[in-house]
Parts: sequence; structure tokens; C-alpha cells
Amino acid sequence: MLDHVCVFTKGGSLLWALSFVALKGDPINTLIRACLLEDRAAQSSFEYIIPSGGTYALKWSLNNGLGLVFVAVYQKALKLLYVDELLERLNRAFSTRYSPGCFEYPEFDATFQRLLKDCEQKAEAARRPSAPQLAPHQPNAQQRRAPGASSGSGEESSEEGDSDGTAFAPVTTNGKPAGSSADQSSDDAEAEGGAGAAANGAEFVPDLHKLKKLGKRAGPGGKTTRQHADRAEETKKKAAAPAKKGKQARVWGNIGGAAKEDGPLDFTDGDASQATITTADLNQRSLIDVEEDVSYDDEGTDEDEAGAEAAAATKKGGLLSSFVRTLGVNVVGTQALTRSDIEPALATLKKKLMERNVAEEIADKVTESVATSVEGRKLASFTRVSTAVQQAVEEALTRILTPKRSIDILREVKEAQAKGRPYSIVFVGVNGVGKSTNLAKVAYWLLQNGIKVMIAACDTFRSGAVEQLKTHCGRLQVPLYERGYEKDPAKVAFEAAKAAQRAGIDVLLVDTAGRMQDNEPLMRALSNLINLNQPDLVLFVGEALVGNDAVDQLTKFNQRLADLCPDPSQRHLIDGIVLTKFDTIDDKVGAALSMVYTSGAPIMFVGCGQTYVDLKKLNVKSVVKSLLK
Amino acid sequence: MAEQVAEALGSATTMTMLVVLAATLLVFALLKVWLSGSKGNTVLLVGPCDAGKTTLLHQLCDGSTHLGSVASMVPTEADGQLASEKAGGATSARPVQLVDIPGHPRVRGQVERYAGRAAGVVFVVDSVDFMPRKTEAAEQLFEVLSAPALARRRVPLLLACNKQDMGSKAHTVDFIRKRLEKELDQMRSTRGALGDVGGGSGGGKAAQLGLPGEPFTFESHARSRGVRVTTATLSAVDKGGVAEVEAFIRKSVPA
Repeated sequence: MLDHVCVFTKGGSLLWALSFVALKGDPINTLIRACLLEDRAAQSSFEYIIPSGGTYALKWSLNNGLGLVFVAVYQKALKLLYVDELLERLNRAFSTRYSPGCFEYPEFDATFQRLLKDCEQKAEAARRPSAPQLAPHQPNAQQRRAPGASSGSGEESSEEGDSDGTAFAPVTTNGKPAGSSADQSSDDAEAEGGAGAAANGAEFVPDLHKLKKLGKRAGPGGKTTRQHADRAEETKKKAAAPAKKGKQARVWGNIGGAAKEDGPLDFTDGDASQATITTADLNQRSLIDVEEDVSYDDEGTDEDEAGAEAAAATKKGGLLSSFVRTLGVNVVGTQALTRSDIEPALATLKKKLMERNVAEEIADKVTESVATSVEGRKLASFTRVSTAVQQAVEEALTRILTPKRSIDILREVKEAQAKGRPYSIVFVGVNGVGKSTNLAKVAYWLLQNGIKVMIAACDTFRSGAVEQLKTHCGRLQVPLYERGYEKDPAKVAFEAAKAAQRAGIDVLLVDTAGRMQDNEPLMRALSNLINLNQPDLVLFVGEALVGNDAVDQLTKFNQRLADLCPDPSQRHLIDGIVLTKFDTIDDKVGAALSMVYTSGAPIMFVGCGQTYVDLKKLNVKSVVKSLLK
Repeated sequence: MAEQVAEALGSATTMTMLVVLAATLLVFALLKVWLSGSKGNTVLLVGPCDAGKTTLLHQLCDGSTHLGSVASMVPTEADGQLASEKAGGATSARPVQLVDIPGHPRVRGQVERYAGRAAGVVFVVDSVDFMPRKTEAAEQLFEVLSAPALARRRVPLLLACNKQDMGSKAHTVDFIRKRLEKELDQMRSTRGALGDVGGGSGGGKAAQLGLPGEPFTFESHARSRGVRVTTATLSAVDKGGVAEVEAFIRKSVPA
């Protein structure tokens, strides 16, 4: 049944493990790296594909107060219904025995065996009567009754098929639960619901989601006072923020003032018939090389916050309200945070993220993941819940945006150079996001670093695309490989790679036609191009203006690239992102988060203007700051 | 009115208050000196994933590897004496704080948080699985060496080549050192072109590595930047395998 159960600390020390079957591969570490560290902990299970065949399902439970993680591994083919409950109970049982200095708990084996037997029997008992009926709701109710019998909570008595709705009611109407019992029962209900959904197939899932949402929406209702206070502070902060921010100075202006006429990409004023094309001045420094002198004073923000807080307090009506607020701070100061404590802070955070143009789905997932990592944590005294949550979100966002893969393209180019083959980069994306423009900017930056560049015009679709690249190539004095229109782009790219190899080129930049993510024939052509040429880097070009569509675009591009690949071992997904039109969005930098979270790929370049030099690297700290401002 | 104020100022109560204030300030100042004195005993364990940092931490602190380890998610701080010293009965030795920083790219930026109080850095590398992941290791070593807070204070670094107990499967220390030097040399030119290093750093300008004119070696780095880089063999799973690392820690944090 179960293959492996283990308990470890977040610091990485294994505390207790029990193997029923020797594990194949390394599912635990994969879970940590691919899920828990990626802020995807909000999902309920993780699948690990065993290299030798088969799939493991992993479920986990976190104890944030003690920093413990409980993981159960089992064969995915076996649909074990009791794992969630088992983990919860394991969590509770182990937490009481845990002492920070101790790393061995041999006596826990017996306790676990008892828990396991208990859970198995209960699951067995719950399944047997409902098995012949196969009604979607029935086994769920049975499931719910089971834990109720053992824990003896009051509101577990409802036995109707759609009892889930009523079971949520006490939590939602009471506002703040009296103790941990009500909260725990809601947890149980969720966990059980999850198990039930897993067993019954997809039909139950939307129902559960609806319920969760309902619960969430109604949850904070009881504590309007605190929420109001939060919101007041929020607006206050927002008012204080713009004064702080200030626009970053455009550095290039004073470097190449004389070359200004060469700057804009606009050539309409020049005489078209004239044979000589003005060439771009390579002496200007691309902005990516210019170091920014942005200082991040973390202490400053704290003071600002305190100031804003004080101002808010005085404005709201003096001593009394501030006194009430202090009370709000202290009440939760000593005990572990419950879900309902953090709910209002999470709601404001989610709103804030969405105001910053983060896709709703992503904002949801990030806040959910933060919730799982904060719940149960103990606050230091005189810390406000919102501060703790804010800090957790900041950490999570920094983690998400920090590149997992090296973004040092120059080093990779040099490596390829040493091997004597051209390094190829393919630019993909939807229409009109600035693929060609940013390709030219990248070419300019590479040229400045003494790298020989060639551009391949594989947009054989849109009229004028080749001519546009011709102009860029003329200005940058870079060879262009083009075969006109109506050709198969995959073949053009292939021939271009050969030509680049012959000419001793270091980097081949491949421009492709813009395509909507739903356009099947064009996506097929793109997948063909990538599979045939196996480029070193596939860059997705996306504009920073995009909102909810960012998720859809990246998901579909990645999915099509994966699905349409004939050989799964050779499949090549999006390696990096070029974020364009970054200068047009002010502080609505949410698209960066949406794209990185969706694809897991880092942002390699940021296009921030109209000229060749306007290419930058993403500064994670400043983006996180703008997101939470 | 003015006389009253002057009188109040001159009165005995005011004098007492002033004395009390001065005494409090003095206590605070002493406290700060004492705290800052004890701050310099932190040694960071950094390195790529799966290099054996957590195991090394356990071996150093407890003299046992316990049940083993999994990928770390958060840094682990361990205070106290080294296990070997505890066993030897040397009670007078100064306690050491060891911080194990996860190697996962998403969280290793945490080095910054501890850099300010580090007295030494142990960079742990996997000698067996070195070649396929040498770039990753070099990249991280680059980030550590160029971290402003570490470079400014000339915090010494130990390159500890772990898993030397694997016999012929493990690369030699010399080989690893040379490979890393070569990688770092190349990275120096490419990273320089990209402006600010890594996504996470922001605590000032990144430090330069080695001398600009000549190829990078740890020796030249030590000469030009004053940051001592030494190498050591390490076998974190054996009790006797951590002796060189212990020696380094004791040198960085004098007893």
C-alpha cells in the first residue's frame, strides 16, 4: 500500500522514516526541489515518474510552527483514500514528541503502525457500504463521518450527502473560531473532500472549489474591524509610496548624446531610395551593461511603515483606535497562527498583487502557497499578522523570480565558441510583442561584447518581416540569412545554421513569425522548427502589458512544444523569457511574476525602450518591491 | 517662568536623571560591544545541492550523520562546540555557530543574510558528481567570492571536496581546484558584461575577482584581494574525514 513515509525538518535533516518497499529514484528530493521550493505547495499532491517506469504519488503535510515536513509516498495506481488523514494524524502525533535537538525517534515506529492500521480500517469501513452505489457524494459523507467519530467534534453530526456545505457553516458564520477545534474540523473537511474527489474522479472537484471559495469569501466577514484597519493602512501606504519611488535616470542619454539621430528605430524620415544606410553606433553602451545605482534601504521601509501606521492611527481618531489596534497585535502575538488569522492579510495581498497586473490564477496560487507556509507559525510578540504575511510573500516572490537556471548567456556563447559551433537562439511569441525589435537589441548587445552575430529571417509569413530585419541588419552591419517568403521556416533556420557554421559565426538569432497560442497549424510549424534545429535557447517574448493572458500564452506554448514533439526525450521547452515594453507599465510589473511562475523559466532580458541600447536585466529586488508597494 | 525652569534644571532630581541616563547608555554600549564580539564566530556552509552540507553540519556538531538528509529548504543554524572538541573535553574552546545554507538556486541567495557576521566560509563540492555540474558549482562559487559583504571583510574560504571516501570515483582536490579556476576565469569576463551579479544581490557593488590582467587563480585572488582560499579533502560521512574542515573552522574562529 504505502511505499514510504518520512518526517524531516525544513533544514533538511531526516528525523524518521519507514520504508515498506525500497524507493526507486529520488522522489523526496524531487518533491522538495520541484514543488515545495517552487512555491507550489498549495497543490495537494505531487507525481514522481520513476526512471525505471511507473509513477509515485506523493502527499505531504507541513508543520510550520516546528518546521517539519511529513511525506507519504505510494504507487499512483493505488488510490489510497486515507493518506491525507494519516498525514494529519502523523503530524499531530509526531509534533508532540519532537524536540529540536533530537534526530532519532526509533520508538515512533509503533505509534505510526497503530495510526496506519487505524486509518486503513476506517478507510476500509468507509468504502465497503458505498462501493456498489457509486454515487459521487455518498462516499464523501461516509468519509467525513469517520474522523468525526474519533475526534468527537460537535459539528460532525451532519450525515447528509451534501453535508460539506453545512460543515463549513460553523466556520464561516462564527467568523473567528472559538478554539482550534472548529478550524481543525474545517481542515479535516477539506482534506477529506480532497480524498473523496481523488477517488470519485473529476466530477466532484468544481464543487469543492466552489465551497472553498465560499468559505474564503465568507471567512473574513466576521472581522471587519481589523480588515478596515488594514485597508486604511493600505491606502495610507499607497499615498506615501509614490513620493519614494522616483523615476530611474536614463543613463544612456549622457553617454551617446551625439549619436541621438541613430537612436530611434524609426526610419521613415530617411530617404528610402538612398543606398547608404546609416549604421548604428556601436560605441553606445547597452543599458544591460550599465550598472544601476539603486540602493535598497530595507530599514527605511520599516520606518516608513511605522510612520504611515502612526499617521493612520491619528487620522482614524486618536488614542482609542490605536489602542484597539495594539490589542489586535498582541492577541495573536503568542499563539500559532490559524488560517482565519491570516485570511484578511492574504486577501489584501491578493488584491494588491492583482492590482499590479498579476494574473488572477497566479495571485491565487501564490497566496495559497504562502498561506500553507505561514499557517501554524508562531509570531514573535509585537509582530502584526500582516507584517508576517507580507514578509512571507516577499520571500516567496523573491524565490519565484530568482532564476533557477543560469542567465549568463555570454558564458554559454563562449562555451559554444570553444567547441566551434554557433549558439542559436530562437525568439517565439504572439503577434506584435516585439520579437524582431528585441532580437535586434540582443544582437546589438552581443556585438558590443565582441561576438559575431547572424540573423535568420524565419518569419516567412508576415509581409515586410524580412525587410524589417534587413534594415536592422544593415544598421548593425550583421549578416542576414533569408530565403524570402512562403518557405518552410524550419528549413530556413536549418540552412541558416549551416551557413553560420561555415561563416564562423558565434551566435545565430532566429526570428520567427508571431502566432497566437491557439493557432494549431502555426504552433505545429514552430514545434517543427524547434525540433528540427534543436536550438540552444528558446526565448519567449512577452509584453509586460499582458494580464491574465500571460498564463494562457505560456502554458499553451509550452504544452504545444511538448505535445507536438515526436521524441519526448528530445523535447525542448521555453528556456527563458524576454519581457518587452517594460517602460510602459510603471509599477504594474505583475506580468513578470505571472510568466515566471507559469513557465518556471527566468526572465533573461527586459526591453525597456525604443532604441538598441534599451535592453536590461531584471532586477528581482525592485520587481518584488514594486509588486508589494 | 524662566527662573523656575532654571531652578528645575539645577535641581538634584535632574542631576539624578542625567546620571541614570548616562549609566543606561553605557550599559547599552557595553552590550553592543559584547554582542559584536560574539558575532564573529559564524562559519557558513555553502555549495551546490547534494554536495553534503547538511551531513557535514551534523558531523561537525554531533559527530554523527543521524538518519541522513534530504534537500534543505531553509538555512539551519547550529550553535555550540564542535563535536570532536566536546568529546575531547576541551571545555574552554569558543563555541562556533555553523550555518548550513541550502544549495538550491532559488534559496542560495540567503548567503547575503549571514554574510555580515561570517568569519569563514566552507564551500562544499561533490567530488564524484563534479564534472557534469562544474558550471553550477563555479557559478555559485563566483557569487560567494564576489559577495560584497564577504569580500570587503576578507572572509577566508575553504574549498572542501566532499565524498573523497568514494575512492577512484572521486576527482582529486587539485583537479577540482584547477577546473573551478578555469570556469571562474571565463565567468569573470561574461559576468562583468552583465552588470549586477545574480538576481538577488543588491547589497552594493559586486567585488572583483583576481587580477584583471592575468588568468584567475585562487592564489592570485588571495594576493590581490586579500581573500585566502584554501582547499581540503572532506569525507563528511566519516568521523575522521572532517579533520581538515575542523582545522579551518578553528583557524577562522580562534578558541
